[in-house]
Amino acid sequence: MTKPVRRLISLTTKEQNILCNEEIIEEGMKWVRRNKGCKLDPESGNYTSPRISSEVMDCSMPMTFDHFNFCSLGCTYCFAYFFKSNNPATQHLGLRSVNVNHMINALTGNPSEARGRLMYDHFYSKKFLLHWGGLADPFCNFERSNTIGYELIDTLGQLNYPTLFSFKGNTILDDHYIELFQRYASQSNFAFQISMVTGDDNLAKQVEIGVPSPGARLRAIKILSDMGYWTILRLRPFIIGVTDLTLDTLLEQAYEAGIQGISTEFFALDARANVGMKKRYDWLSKLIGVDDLMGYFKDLSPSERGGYMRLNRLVKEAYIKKIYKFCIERNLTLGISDPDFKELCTSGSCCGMPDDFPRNRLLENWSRSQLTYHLKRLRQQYHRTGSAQNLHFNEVYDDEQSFLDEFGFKNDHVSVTSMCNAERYQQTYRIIIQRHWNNLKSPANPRNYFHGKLIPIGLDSESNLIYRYNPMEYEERWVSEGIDLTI
Amino acid sequence: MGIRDYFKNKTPSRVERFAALAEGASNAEKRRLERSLLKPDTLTPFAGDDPAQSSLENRTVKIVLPTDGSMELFKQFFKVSSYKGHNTRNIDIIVALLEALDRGTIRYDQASKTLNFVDDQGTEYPL
Repeated sequence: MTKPVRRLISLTTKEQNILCNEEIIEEGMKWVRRNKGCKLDPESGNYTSPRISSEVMDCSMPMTFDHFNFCSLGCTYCFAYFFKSNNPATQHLGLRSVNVNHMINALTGNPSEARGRLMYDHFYSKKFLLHWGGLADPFCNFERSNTIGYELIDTLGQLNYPTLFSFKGNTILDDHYIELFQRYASQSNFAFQISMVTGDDNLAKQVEIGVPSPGARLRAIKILSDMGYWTILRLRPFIIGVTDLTLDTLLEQAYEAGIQGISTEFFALDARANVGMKKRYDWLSKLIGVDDLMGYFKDLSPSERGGYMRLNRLVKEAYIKKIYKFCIERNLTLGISDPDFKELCTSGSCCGMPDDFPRNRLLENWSRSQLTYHLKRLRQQYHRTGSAQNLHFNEVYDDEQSFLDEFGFKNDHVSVTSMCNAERYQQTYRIIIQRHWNNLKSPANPRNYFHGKLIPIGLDSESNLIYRYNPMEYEERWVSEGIDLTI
Repeated sequence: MGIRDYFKNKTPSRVERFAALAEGASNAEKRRLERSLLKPDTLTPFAGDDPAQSSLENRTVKIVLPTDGSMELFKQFFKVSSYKGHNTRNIDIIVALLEALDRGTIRYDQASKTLNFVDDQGTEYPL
């Protein structure tokens, strides 16, 4: 190890070495170790962001942004780590950042490059919600060491640009960041998702290497909530065997700290584990109570969903029920980013962003042209009227979101990597989505992805499948227990 | 209420049975019970008509050229990529030819296998 890495590890508690083995700590610090610390090399080149998410079929915020290519936090469950460690293009890269000047130019309508023009035309000009923190933490030690994001946050504040931060790093608690967010508190254009997987400090140290304690994160929630910002407990990933152990306490503590919403999604496992992932999975196995994590997930995950294994709704039901009841009783917005029980979202955004935010209507500026919004609508309709409604392709993916038909975004979607050049150049997000919509063998197909919550019933006049809302056994049971499913 | 409804109402769901058995159990025991009781169901296959995959598939054709020579000729005029098989989208010339055929400006003579130019009077001239 080099000096900077040792210093970083010594900043976590001495107990870290007792609770975790050295191998897991080294694994967690992979990006910091490769970069030989947290400092950015100015000659390292630029990182391209924002990008359009590949999960756009049910995502309210397809424009996702990270200002660094890596994250300094070592969460053992990190899905972004899987994607980056498996990507040959990142194998020899050090830390890179976005070109902040280019981004500010694009945001203000004076793009200095073609990508900036695309982003302005389809997103910035409409003040579409910017989701900051997709594959890296915006307030990790890379930001503390380089302060690349500070100027950008200030610009977003000046523009009253709606922005959702997803984070667990504590650079945000440094004085100058607190002062920055205080400056724009009255306009409430910022919202915050604070990620937590447990309320237990000792357990957190075992799954999250070099990450601020749950107590520190609850403090961040309180500070930002007291400023008047919309704050969300991001209970993601919900790790069965870890998160459930302190769920009741964590929900109460987050509520006391001032959250207005909860967003949750269960831990998932990709079948294609590399050496680093296998070390992490072996470690997590011990914590959640299985000998073979891969076997556990294979047994309990529907085959129709493919190799990204997400367990099934029977395993998740008890936890979702607890969270749903907690939110309903306290008038909190609930976002379920998981494909199972997504119909129970009380907002059309599974990140827990509000449908209705009178303090700043720009925070409502996320996409309704996606399946989370419509699944929620169909569930509400069924329980209010008793009638299960149909869903058409053109109804969901309407003309509201112009980016769906933009050829310039074709290379953002992961599926184009398997296509020949002639096909790739003709792709738009609408075409890609339509292919999944109609292919009943695709894991992303609505029937397979939501595992029977939407069932195909026939073809429409354009030969696209029509889906119908499929009421399930649990709904009858919950209603008989007095749980309101009309909300 | 029929006998089936009676049994349906009296039989706990798998989730309820699991909850009763998992009460107070250790993590390891809960995981074992999950694997035993909570495996997912299989989805019912769809027996309806095949949908169109996407509008792009409806606009994609496979062309098989008769000889190596004609393939080389094709590559001269169309930028053919060899990434994941031979493919091209640079077919402006083909589109122009098709539109001219459709207008009647040119005509393909089946007998002689040649293209002829057709003037305003309808007279044909070999190209």
